[in-house]
Amino acid sequence: MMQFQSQTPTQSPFTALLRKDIRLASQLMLPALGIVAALAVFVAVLPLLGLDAMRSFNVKHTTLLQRLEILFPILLGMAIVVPGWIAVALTFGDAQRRGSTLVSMLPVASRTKWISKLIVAIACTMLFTAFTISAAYANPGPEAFIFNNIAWALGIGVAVQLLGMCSGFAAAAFTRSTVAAYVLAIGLPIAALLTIVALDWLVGRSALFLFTTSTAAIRVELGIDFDESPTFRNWVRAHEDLRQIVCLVTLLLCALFCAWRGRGRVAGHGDSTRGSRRTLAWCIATILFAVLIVNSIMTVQISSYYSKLTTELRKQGEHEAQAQLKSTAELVDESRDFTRQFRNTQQCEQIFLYDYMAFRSTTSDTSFHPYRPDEPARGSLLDYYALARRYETRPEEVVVAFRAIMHDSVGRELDQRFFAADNIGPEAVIGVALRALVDAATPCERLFAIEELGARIDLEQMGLEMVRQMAVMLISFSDLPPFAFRETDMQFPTCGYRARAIVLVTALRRHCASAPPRASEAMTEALAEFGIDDATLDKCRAILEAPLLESWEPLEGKAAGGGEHLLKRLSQLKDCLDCNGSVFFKPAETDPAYLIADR
Amino acid sequence: MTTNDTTTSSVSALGLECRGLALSFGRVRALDGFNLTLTAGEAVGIVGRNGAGKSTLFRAIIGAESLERGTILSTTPTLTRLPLLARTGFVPDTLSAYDWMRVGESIAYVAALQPNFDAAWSRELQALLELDLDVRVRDLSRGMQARLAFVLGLSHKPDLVLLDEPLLGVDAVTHDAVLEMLARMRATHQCTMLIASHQLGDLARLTDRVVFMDRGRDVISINTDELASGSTRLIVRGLSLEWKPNFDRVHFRRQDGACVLTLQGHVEPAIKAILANEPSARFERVALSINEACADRLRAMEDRS
Repeated sequence: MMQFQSQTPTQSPFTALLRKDIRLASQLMLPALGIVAALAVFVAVLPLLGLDAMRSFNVKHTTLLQRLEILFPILLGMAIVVPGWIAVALTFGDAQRRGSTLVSMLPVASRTKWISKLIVAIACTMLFTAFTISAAYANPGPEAFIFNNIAWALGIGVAVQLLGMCSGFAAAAFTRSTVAAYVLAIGLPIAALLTIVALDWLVGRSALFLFTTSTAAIRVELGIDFDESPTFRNWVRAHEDLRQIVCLVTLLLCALFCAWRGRGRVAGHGDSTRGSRRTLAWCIATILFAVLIVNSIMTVQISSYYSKLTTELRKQGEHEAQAQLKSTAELVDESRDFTRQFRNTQQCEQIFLYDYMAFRSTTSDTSFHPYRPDEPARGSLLDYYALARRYETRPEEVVVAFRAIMHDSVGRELDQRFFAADNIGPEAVIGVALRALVDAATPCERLFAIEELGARIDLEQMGLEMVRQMAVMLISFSDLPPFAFRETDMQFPTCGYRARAIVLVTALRRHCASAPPRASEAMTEALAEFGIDDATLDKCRAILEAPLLESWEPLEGKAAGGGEHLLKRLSQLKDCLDCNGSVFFKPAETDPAYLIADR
Repeated sequence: MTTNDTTTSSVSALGLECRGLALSFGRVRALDGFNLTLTAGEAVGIVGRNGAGKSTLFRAIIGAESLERGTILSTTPTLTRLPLLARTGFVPDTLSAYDWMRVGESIAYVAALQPNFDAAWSRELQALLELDLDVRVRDLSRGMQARLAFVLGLSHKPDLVLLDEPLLGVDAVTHDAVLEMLARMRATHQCTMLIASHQLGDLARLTDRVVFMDRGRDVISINTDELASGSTRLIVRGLSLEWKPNFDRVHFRRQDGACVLTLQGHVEPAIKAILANEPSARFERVALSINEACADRLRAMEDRS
């Protein structure tokens, strides 16, 4: 029989708690370890059961270590469940009410009790992490067993099991019922995940969304057509509201729960527990309040932004409505002044200075800007958009108008002609570009035509991806003769377009001669429509072969004022463009058809 | 941590004041505005039917349950939680110990965590209660569990003793010895006691007054001396079925064709005067035991609510 002296405390409170928790956890760990051992034995003796048994368990390996790999999913599942299970049991004392009462009636600091539980739970966690990782890497396959893999496995393993452990502790703290705690231990990680997602949407995305869609919202309110898909926009808006509501309700419930838990006051408990619950409730309430304030400020700011935009957008809407009433002929006439990018010589020079791609990325597609009364060309652009929209209802009428525009080299700017041709088809664009290349009055127009030509040929069969990201229709040719570009030139988009334009013109020349490569009948018709014959194509090829600019002096003068980097850039561009077109090809890998003979 | 190997006594007993305690478990209101003042050195009994909220009250006092509303204050308000718990002894209705531990291990565990643990006093208790230290807790009988609960809860000579049905299942000999020990403890240590029990005789022996509890509320507080003496039972025969007294302090029920009237306070003359107007009425006066008196009071409380 144990002697009375044994009750004299020879151990510290923490040691006593730790010993108790270890003994308690070990009772729960034993069944888990028993399951692991039984599985390991089963895997060990599996070959004795024959090949059919091994096949039924999808076991192909012969060594014991290799066979242990099949335990990985089971061990991973246990790695999540067992720490949670142990955490719940530790929190409840011994999974019965009497244990928790004993803990409550003894004068031990909560932190001491929790640290003891945490140490034991982490030890169990590490044990199962080791099992899981061992099973994952038991099979020394072709993949190297390198440090990074171990670190990742450890990190993921520990994180997964900490999730189980934390949810176990939290679940036990929420409920008096052991069964409910075990159920919550599974449900809490999911709830935590949902809360985090909701919070993310509240504090991050909602603000951004309000700003980015403000224009769209006004347009919808004013009844103005919107370029983006309304279905998508409505979907986003609806879900955004839902997420905010979910988040706010979640936070509110948390605050109410904390406040409810911190209501009564027990003598002497004065109250760290009650105080912390109340503090938490206050924190959540403060966050909610702050979020509401910030949202209100944002709403006011957005309202001011709205009020400015509303006037402009209303004018735009009125203009669009009026445009719809106009006849097609009127629209064609009044859209005469619109332009997309080539507005003046200065901008054209910028293209050369900064190269094509960089310039286009900042200046192209200006249509998303709101209507500005001080910009006359915008009204013309709106008329042109109305004309394009009419294509959906009265296509024949509009096609006639577009054809008239794209052939009107005197009354319309090149940009307008391309826009019109783009609505008809890629063959029409190529026709306009070839004609513009021959008839170009300025280097800018020539450059524009080269870009359109280079961007319209599909070279995917030659292993080259599209030059630009815009969704444009391309012309494909069957059996293109082989060629290879010089890589150094291709880093400049302008050079790339020029080289690809040479390929296109060469292919068209062979197409017209009814020799491979061939394109579609539509291409033949388009060339005929624009009066492009073999001689014209030869002329185009000659233009593409010649240096693009006759004189670089004006540009060099401007670049000098722009800094050293600009001069360097222009110098590189000059090296690339101040040469013959055939230089862009590697002669050894290129069919002679692409090259000018007297090169 | 240190252990006091000699008997220590506190400088002052602890009092307790409970105001408007409220606590629910789902739809069940375990405490519903409960009030109780426990002056230092006083012994108070709590009486109530099963589910009246007695155990919840004790668990709330030690902090095992979080109150929804109300306050529990000690007469030494500066005491923080741990020192207060160190001066409080709780003997619950079901044993609070890990059932996988042995009895000796359980006591050693509490000894390690209880700074005021008095080893000599604990040994005295163990001897009195005849505990076998080598038996596992799970193997203890109901009575032996109750004995162990006493040792675990009182080994530190608490200033505030909370006893929740402490003697359930305890044999008559031990029962007497424990009552004797508690009475001696109160006399020598002057501790404050709050005892919940269905054994009214025990309460009469140990407490100064008894608080009746019903559905989480305190209903009435009566001095123990008045508990039985203040109640009288009249069994009246020969009355019509419609007859019913209309008195506040009279509990009325029918039993085997007779009317049973439990009278509280000095209402007997008035009742007898009324019965004098009923010529067929024959009544007899019955002396009530304390248990019968309390049972009648509990029934009366239930009828009123």
